[in-house]
Amino acid sequence: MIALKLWGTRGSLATPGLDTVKYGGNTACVEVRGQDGTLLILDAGTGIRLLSTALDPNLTEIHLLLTHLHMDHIQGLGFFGPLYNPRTHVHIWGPASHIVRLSARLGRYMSPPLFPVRLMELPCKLTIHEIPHTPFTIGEFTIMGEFICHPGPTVGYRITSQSKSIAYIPDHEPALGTTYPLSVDWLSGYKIANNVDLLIHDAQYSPEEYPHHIGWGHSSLHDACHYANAVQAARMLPFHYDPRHNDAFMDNLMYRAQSEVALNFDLIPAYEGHVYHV
Amino acid sequence: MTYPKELEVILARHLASSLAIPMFLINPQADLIYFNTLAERILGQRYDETGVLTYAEWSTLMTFRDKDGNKLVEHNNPFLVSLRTEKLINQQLWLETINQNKQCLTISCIPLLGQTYHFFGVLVIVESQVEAE
Repeated sequence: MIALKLWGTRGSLATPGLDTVKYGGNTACVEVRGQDGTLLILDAGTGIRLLSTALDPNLTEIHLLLTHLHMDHIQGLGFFGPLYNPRTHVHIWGPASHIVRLSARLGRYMSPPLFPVRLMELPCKLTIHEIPHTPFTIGEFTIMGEFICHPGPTVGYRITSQSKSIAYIPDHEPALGTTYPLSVDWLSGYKIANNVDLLIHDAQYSPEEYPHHIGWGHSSLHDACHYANAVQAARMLPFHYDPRHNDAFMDNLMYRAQSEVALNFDLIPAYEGHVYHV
Repeated sequence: MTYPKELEVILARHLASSLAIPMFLINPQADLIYFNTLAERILGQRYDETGVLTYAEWSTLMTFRDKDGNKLVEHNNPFLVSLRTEKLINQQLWLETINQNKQCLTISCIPLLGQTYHFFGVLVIVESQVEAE
C-alpha cells in the first residue's frame, strides 16, 4: 500500500484564506510513504514547510523529487527543515538538462538576492541528482521520470511499489497543439500514466478558461478527465488549482466534470491535508 | 508500429501539424513516423492512410537526386546523413515520387537532440522551389 498526504494542492501562487481552506492554499507538495516506511516528497511548494514540522527529527535520509523549477514548486525549499540538519542526508532529484545543470538552476533561487542562504552552504549533506532516462529505485519504490508537456524541463513521475502505482503530473498540457485526445502513443506522459492506480494531474482551468491560456502548460479539469480516460487510470486527483478558484468554484467545477464528461475512473477531489491510500 | 513517443517527438509533430510548411518526422530507426498535410502533397500519399512508413517503404515512394541527376542513396541521402551524424543539413535536391512527380526542393534536416543529448530523430522542413513539368 502507498499512502499519500497532500501538503499543497494549489498552482502558481499560494492562496491562503477562508475561501480556500477546503481545497487548500499551499502550492505543490505531496508526501508519499510506502509499506516499509520509505518516504518520498514530491515538489517543494509552500506546503513543504508544514510537512517539515511533521517529520521525525531523527530522520537521516530523505528524498525530494522535483518535477520542475517553477517558483510554485520550489518556493518552500528554503523552509524545508531537514536542509538545516547536519545529520540529515537530503537527496534532491529533478529534471536533467545539459544546458544548465540542475544544481546551477536550483542555485539561482537558493542564493541572494532571492534567498539569503546559498544552496551549497546548507548544513545538511546534500546530493543533487538529475533524473536518469531509466527507472531508478529508492527504498521500496521504483521511479520513472519522463519529460512531459510543460514549458521548460519538466518531468512527471511514475512511482511503483509492488503492484501499486501512482503517477504525479502536476503541471501538464497534453492538449497542446492538437485535436485532443490523440491516439495514446502520441500522448505526452503516457508511459508514466498508463494503467496507473492513482493519477495526480494538473486541473488548473475550467473549460471556458483554457482557450485563453493555451501554451501556458496547464490543463482544464475536463481535459484532465479525458487524459485519465485515455491512459486508463483507475482514479484521479485533480491538482494545481488556479489561485482564482475558491472552494465554491472548485465544488462546482468538480460537479460539472462529473456530469459533463463520461468518466471511466473515479474522480476524487484533492483536499490539502487529506491522506489517500493506493 | 505504435509505441509511446517521447515529448520531443510529440512536440515536433505538433509543430509540423500546426505550420503551413511541408515537414517530415523521422525516428532514429529511419522510419517516417509523421508527415503533415503539405508534405502529403509532395509525397502523394496521405498520412492517415499510410501511417508509419519504414525506410524500406518510404524509400520506394521517394527517390532523391542531386542537381546532376545522380541518385542519392543511403550514404548521401541527406535525411539519412542527418540521422547518422545528428547534424543539421541544408541541401537542394530533386525529388521524384512514385507517381512520377518531379520537384526541386530545398530541405533542412534538423536533428532532434534533447536537453540530455538524447537523440530522437530528424525533423525535415521542405521548401518547394520549382514544380517540374
